[in-house]
Amino acid sequence: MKTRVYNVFAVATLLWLAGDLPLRAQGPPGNAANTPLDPIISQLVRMGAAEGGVTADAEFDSPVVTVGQPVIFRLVVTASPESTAPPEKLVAPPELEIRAGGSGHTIGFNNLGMQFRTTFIYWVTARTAGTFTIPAFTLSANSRAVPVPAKTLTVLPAGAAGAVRAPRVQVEVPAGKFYIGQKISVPVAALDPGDNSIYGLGSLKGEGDDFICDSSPGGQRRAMRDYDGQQVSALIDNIAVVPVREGDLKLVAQAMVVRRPGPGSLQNTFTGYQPLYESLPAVVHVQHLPKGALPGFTGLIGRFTVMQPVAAPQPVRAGDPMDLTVTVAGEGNLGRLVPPKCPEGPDWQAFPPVPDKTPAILIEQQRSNIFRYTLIPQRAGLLSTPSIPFCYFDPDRGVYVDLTIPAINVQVMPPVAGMVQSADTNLPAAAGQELQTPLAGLSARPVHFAGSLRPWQQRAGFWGAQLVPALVLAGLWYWDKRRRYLAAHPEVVRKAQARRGLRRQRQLMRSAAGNRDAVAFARAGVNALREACAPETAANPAALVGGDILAVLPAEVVRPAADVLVGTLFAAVERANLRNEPPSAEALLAAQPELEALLEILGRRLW
Amino acid sequence: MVKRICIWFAVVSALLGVVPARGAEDVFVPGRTAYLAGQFTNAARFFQGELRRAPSAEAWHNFGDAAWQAGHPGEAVLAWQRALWLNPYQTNAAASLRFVDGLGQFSELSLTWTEKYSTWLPVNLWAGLAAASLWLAVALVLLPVVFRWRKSVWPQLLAAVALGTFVLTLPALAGIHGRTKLAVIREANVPLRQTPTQTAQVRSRFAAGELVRCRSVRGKYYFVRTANDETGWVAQDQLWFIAEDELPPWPAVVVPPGSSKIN
Repeated sequence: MKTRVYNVFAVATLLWLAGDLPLRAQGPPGNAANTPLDPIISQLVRMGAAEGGVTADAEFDSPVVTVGQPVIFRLVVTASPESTAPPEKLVAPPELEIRAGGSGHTIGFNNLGMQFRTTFIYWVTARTAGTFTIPAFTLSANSRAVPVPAKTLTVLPAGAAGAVRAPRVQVEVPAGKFYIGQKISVPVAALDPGDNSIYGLGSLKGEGDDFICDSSPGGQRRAMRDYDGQQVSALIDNIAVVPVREGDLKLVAQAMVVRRPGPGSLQNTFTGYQPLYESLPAVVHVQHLPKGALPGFTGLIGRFTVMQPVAAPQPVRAGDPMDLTVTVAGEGNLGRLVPPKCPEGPDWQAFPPVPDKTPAILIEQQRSNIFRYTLIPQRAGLLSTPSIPFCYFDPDRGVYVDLTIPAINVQVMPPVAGMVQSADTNLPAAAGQELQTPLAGLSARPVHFAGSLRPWQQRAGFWGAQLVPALVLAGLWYWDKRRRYLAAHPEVVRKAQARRGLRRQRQLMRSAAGNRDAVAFARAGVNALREACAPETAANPAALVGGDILAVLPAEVVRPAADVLVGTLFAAVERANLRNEPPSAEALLAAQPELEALLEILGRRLW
Repeated sequence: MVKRICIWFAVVSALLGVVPARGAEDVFVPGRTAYLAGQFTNAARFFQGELRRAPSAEAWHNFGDAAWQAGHPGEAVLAWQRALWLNPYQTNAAASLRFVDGLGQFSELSLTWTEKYSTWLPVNLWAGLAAASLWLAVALVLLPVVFRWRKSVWPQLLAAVALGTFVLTLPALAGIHGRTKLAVIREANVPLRQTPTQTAQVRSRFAAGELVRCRSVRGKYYFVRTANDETGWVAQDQLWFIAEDELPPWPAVVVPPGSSKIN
């Protein structure tokens, strides 16, 4: 509960500081807007409505009028406009002509919280004098039937004294011709009934389907106005409207009038209530804009001048964006200014203009609208920005006035972002070279050649080249290993030598046999036997004699025959060497198969 | 001994391309003249011819400058990257890439530590150093045993140094392998697609010259990772690998009157 009280207090303080308790004035009943409220305020309103319930009351703005004098019948319901269904037609005596007017709502305070005060206006005109009562009726609000008490209107004959004057809101349309799209500042006066009871004017706005109601800068002022032949004080403020079609258009103004409560006023029923007033319709004569608009017309109506555009940054490089800022000043519909399109040319790439993001009311207070183009120069040199066609319509003179945005000269430097630079640049070469320094200049001559960009490690040739040292070193290693092995095993060397010697001698032996040379055959046979048996004795083959050979013959050799064969060969060689007696060729050569078999056996032992 | 070392150094340096070649002083003059005259397209054409004839880091850098000025940022970035690939001490190309990075057109692709390490030396010098140090270490271990040299300290010390050098080159070789996966986007607005198909959803678009890391290939698309750690598929014909020999195509030469030096 305490928190809620604090919230109520805080919101109330804010509203009081803002001085704008009325929230919204609307059109005729049933056309309530559905703009959502601030969530906190909605919560507070719900609390106030839940605890306070919904009540309704009504009043005639002036309880005593004369015949034919329109008077406001004001119906106030403590519910939101969305949840209230006012009667479409009031039940009233036939002498009263009733027309529904506008509606609006405020948020006020009751003892328990905040509550809506929705006001519905009905215009009542009496045809005859008398006392007429609008009987009590019920309306639906928050899905409840809410009673409205009966109200009585006293109508005096026309011109009779005694009528009670009520505050009056009137639209004072200025004289002159107006055009579609023209912003018209219309004074709205709240006439004091003569008792100085009007203190202020709030939520002033225009109403009408044929107008766009706009803000209008300026404050309230007081002036004297005629009220049924009597000069009274009036509180005057302005509304801004923009007609959207031609013809005689009806304009209505609504306002919350801050006034001193009178006896029987609803302000006594609803604490802090500010009654909603509505003016009688005023006629505005609107016509189409004349033909013959100049190029670049985008609907600007008033009286304007264009300032010298400003380009930034400067100097700009070709290919880089540049902002061209244009300021239009003057009076008229500046808040709704649509910037003209920038024509493209060979030298510039233009982007759509960016309108002024300042709120329209501030633009019109400042009386200047600033919009911006983004341009990209396409080449270097001294370039002129595009001349942008623009114009406005002067409603006072009824003519279109040229407002072309002038071209300005811009120094464009050579590009550094890869833009194409045309050859016919006007830029001095020195300046161009200066801007090329970020690219650090060209190399004077080739130094670091490379046949291919592929790294060596991914080329087969590199790995092939590695085979050379690998094979060399591997060969050395193997050679050393073999050498060490042979040093440790000399019999291997001897056997190898023996195999080579045996092979050589057997070839000699076969050759001699083919030539029928018994001596050579015998010598080769002996040498072959020596070579084959030398590894077994670790002796020089030439040093072996027949006995040495026989001593190392393997067991598989048939001994008596082998002994004879060896003895025969050695004896033949000895005779041939010492006595020069050639042996019998027939006998020796006949032993060749036997000798071959013996050498075969001996040769196998050498492996 | 000193003379022998100098001879060996000269031989190795010539093999690795770190010694200036003789007789190449004036070959860039036509291209430079065209560049300074503002005929960037012609200059780029000339340097491309030089690249076709005798590719060098300097020719790549000059081609990059001319391509950039002629409005081909993709080719320019590729050329500068290749210049740095061949010679990481090519300060002009490095400055040009820093300048492009400074323009903020795209984010800089972050390299792994091995890749950064591999930029300390030319790519082929790493491979040569690795091979030389490895075989030197092996030889210094093997030869004294084979030839039964008298044991001394310096071969062992030299072998240890060579082996250490070889170990130090391994991360660089891995980094070079990683850098071979880097590719440059050819044109602006190249789409990064969700799947390797032509109709796949476009996740983002590249700026020309943006660097990506290719992970795999499927059909005509590479699976790439961008500088912003975004992944997707890019068509093969929209990429140039830094470590490949493909030359970027260049428009037909435009020879203005009076500039017959450009062929």
